Amino acid sequence: MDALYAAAMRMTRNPADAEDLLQETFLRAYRGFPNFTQGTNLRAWLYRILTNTYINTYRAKQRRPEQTELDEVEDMFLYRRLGGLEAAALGRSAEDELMDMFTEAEVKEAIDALPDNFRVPVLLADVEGFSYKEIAEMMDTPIGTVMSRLHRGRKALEKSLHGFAVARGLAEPTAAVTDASSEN
Amino acid sequence: MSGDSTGGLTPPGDGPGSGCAETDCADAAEQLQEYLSGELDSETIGAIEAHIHRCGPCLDAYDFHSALRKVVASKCAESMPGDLRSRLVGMLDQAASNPE
Repeated sequence: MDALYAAAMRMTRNPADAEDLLQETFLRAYRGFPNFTQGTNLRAWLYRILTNTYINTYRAKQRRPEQTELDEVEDMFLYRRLGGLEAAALGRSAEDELMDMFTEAEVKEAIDALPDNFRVPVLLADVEGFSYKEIAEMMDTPIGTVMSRLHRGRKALEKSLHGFAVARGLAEPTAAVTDASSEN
Repeated sequence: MSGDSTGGLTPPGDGPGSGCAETDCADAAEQLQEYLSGELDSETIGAIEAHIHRCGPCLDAYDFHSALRKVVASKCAESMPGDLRSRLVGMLDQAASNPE
């Protein structure tokens, strides 16, 4: 229930809409349960209803198109700027370093900043751990589209996170570390 | 960046892993996200794992991105407010007692 609530919060980006979305999802799941095929993935089925409900509600509510494109961001944006940080802090893993570098609020804000059509696949793949095929089915989108949105969404997320690291003085503003080191 | 034929796995201050073919590093970079997402077949997974275990720079890059995924996922957690949980349960109880 907590995971489903977290997904609803990241999709809608506010508690009131998350509650509406969950209520609608639960009702649809309850009514649709007789159609659920025993032996298939219950969790994927629930998230499919959640995602469908969100996309349809969102599209219906939408008065003007949200930003749907993202700026080009280079591959491995964050790694190029923070990579090798575990070497700098001896004996600490990259996971420990990154865990300390970003707050929960920052990570959530970085995800929330992604346009809808990028946020949903990133959330379903990298937070919820669904396969690309499952996500394509949940979003009624070709798998190639899911992959390209994931590719671009992840890079935009990394760029936002980098901005938080810079704001806290934990990273250099713009240049990649590889560029900076070549100047020495 | 565009002249970087290794595909960008080389971390600050390091050259490509000794003895690595640049195409192996480029392949590893290309497939990193799909590897982490469990989207590759076992043959490709085997080839990548063989490569990253002898290529320090690629191993670092895989380690970093794997860590980043874990950190992002763990920091997105939410606890459902207790009153919302009650409302949802109440709503389902009502739906159960009033079949359409």
